[in-house]
Amino acid sequence: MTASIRQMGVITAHLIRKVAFNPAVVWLIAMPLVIIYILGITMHGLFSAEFTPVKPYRIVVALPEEAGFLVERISRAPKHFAVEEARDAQEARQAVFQRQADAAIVAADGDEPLTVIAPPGSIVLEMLAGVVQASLEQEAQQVAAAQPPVENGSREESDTGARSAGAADGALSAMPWEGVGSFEYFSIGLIVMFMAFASHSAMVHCVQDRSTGAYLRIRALGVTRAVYLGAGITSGMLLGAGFSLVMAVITWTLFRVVWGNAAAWALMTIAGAASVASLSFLLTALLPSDPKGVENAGGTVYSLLAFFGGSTVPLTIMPRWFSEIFSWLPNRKMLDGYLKIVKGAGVKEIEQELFGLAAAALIMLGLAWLVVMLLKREEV
Amino acid sequence: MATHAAVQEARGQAAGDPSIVVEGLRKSFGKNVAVDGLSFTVHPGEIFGLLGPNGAGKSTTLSIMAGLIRPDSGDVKIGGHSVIRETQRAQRLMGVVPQGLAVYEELTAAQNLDYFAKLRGIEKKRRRQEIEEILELVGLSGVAHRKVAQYSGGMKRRLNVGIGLLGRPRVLLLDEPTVGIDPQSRRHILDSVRRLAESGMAVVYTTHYMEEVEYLCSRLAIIDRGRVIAHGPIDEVRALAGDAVVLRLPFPRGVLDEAAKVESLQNTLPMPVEVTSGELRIVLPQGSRQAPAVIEELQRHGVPLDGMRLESPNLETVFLSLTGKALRDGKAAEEGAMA
Ligand SMILES: Nc1ncnc2c1ncn2[C@@H]1O[C@H](COP(=O)(O)OP(=O)(O)O)[C@@H](O)[C@H]1O
Ligand SMILES: [Mg+2]
Repeated sequence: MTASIRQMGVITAHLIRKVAFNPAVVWLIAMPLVIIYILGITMHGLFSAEFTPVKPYRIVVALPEEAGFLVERISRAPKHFAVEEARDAQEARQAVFQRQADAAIVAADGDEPLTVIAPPGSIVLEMLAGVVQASLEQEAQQVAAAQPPVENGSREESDTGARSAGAADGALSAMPWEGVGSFEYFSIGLIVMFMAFASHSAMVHCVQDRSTGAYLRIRALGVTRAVYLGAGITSGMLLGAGFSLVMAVITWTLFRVVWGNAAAWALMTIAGAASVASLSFLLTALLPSDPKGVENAGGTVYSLLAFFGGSTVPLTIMPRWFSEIFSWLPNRKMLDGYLKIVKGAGVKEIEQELFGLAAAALIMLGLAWLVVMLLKREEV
Repeated sequence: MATHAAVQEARGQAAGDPSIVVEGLRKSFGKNVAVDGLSFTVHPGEIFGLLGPNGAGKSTTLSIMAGLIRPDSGDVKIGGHSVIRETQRAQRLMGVVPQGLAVYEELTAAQNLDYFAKLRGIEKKRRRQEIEEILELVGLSGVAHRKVAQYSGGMKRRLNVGIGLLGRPRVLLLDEPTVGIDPQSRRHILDSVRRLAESGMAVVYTTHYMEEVEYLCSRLAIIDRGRVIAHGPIDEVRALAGDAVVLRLPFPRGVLDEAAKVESLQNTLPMPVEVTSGELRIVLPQGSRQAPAVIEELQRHGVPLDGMRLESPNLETVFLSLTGKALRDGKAAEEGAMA
């Protein structure tokens, strides 16, 4: 037992040294920094803390009396929305189609209380949809709360009290990036993305061991398969977490990103590193033992994940349905978690993301183990 | 050479219990039978050769012996310990030199040795001493602190062998340790292996170079597609070609009315007659005592006898006569030429 732990330590240290003292590590750090810098500057305007359109969006509404609260809500953000009333839904629609207005809100015929009309994927649609949905929910809550009036006030207070004045409306805070600047956002996004690469490089070295015969040699020295795999996963985790730490320090120094609660950050980083290391293990288990192939597969998979998980294409400009479809992705969970932490969340508030990541890590580890047992059956 | 083999055999027998016992080893990958009923024993001080072309099953055999792959049936005992049931105990007695260059290019030779020595669990003081000894043995002391990436192919191969010696194993398994290197390094490795055997190590040496087996081994098995086609002391295996010798003489075009002469010879002589690339080859199954009769017949046919020679059978001949194919392709054969 102690021999196994010692061996695992030796192999883990060796794998970490191979990655950390490799010239490629310069790229691993420089590349995301350059991307953060470029995106941080060019996408500056898109992030809600600073984001106001050049002119307020023109919103045409055709709504029944009962929906007056909604009009009132939207009008409360005059820098963002300029509200006009239309005679009927038909006229409101026409205004949007003829580009006399940026969006319209009309009463619908069916069960849906109302419809927002705007060009698909547009920012105004995203913002408006967010406000409308949040207002409806809040209205419904207030109606419900009005019946037992006991614990009403406190909730209302905390909700409004906590919010900064910069936002268009309390409702906009429903979006995860609210209150986060572009440098903060992309620092998080790119760290989440490149953490996977850092972690994966440990696995690539393991596969290399197999192709050179070093693996045979290590095993013949009395190292069991479980110890070797354990060392691979551990070094993947440590590399991911170490990368995240180094990048947190650099982005704080260069871009003044304030990373928030240290305990929450540490837990998030560990859970995140566990999930990327497990995913990397699963990938290598599925692929033949070819180092180049495993490296390339990692590049492809992590780039796709980064795209769908909001690292490279920010959630701000993603259609809402699209970002919701992929909200279960582990890297998205990490992104959401870090966003919350940067906004001031403690451990309690990120519990959901932590559990999600831990569960994802366990599932992927289990799957990978199954695959190893099935595909690499020849080995003892 | 013969004396070397004889000394080895004597040493082996004197030493009593064998260090390695391989018994009825069988392993298939799907329908592909990689090892098909291999058995042999190796005594301390002996070098056992596993000779076979690519795909013969040499590496698979070594992986089984090293405890990495489980055989379908059969067992391997190292110093009396089964690699299947007492894997780690058996492993502690052996050193393995894989076919690939299992060294880290970005580390120095000393760092490479240090890493594997730590995994072997050699404690610090003894580690340093052992690493120095090994570097000395493989002739890399002078460059011990240079990155392996700067080494020549031969130096890398020597380091590859050296790492297998960590922990002073009683049993050494080498998988084609001299592939693609310069003659000096090859010679160096072969001589090191000999010296290790002299010090009492039991060695299994796999190769597809016949000359290496001739130089090193007292006993061998020739394998092809997992099957053992010959097995035993080297002289016995060589003798599997029978007493046969090959009579070779130059047979340039134009000297004779070839086709007719050869046909006539083939009809009169009771043994195989072959013409290949300007050479006439006649296999004499009962050895050189058949030569006079054959020469007489050749003279009767008016074949000039200039440059005629008798060739004693070698392992290549055995492989050829038993499988009907060459041990290696031309390129590998050139590399295999000894310095
Ligand atoms: N892990 C494996 N899976 C499937 N087939 C294998 C595996 N390892 C070896 N083989 C097959 O077993 C045969 C023997 O291979 P090997 O032991 O490498 O031969 P050698 O070392 O003599 O060249 C070959 O046909 C090879 O394709
Ligand atoms: Mg081989």
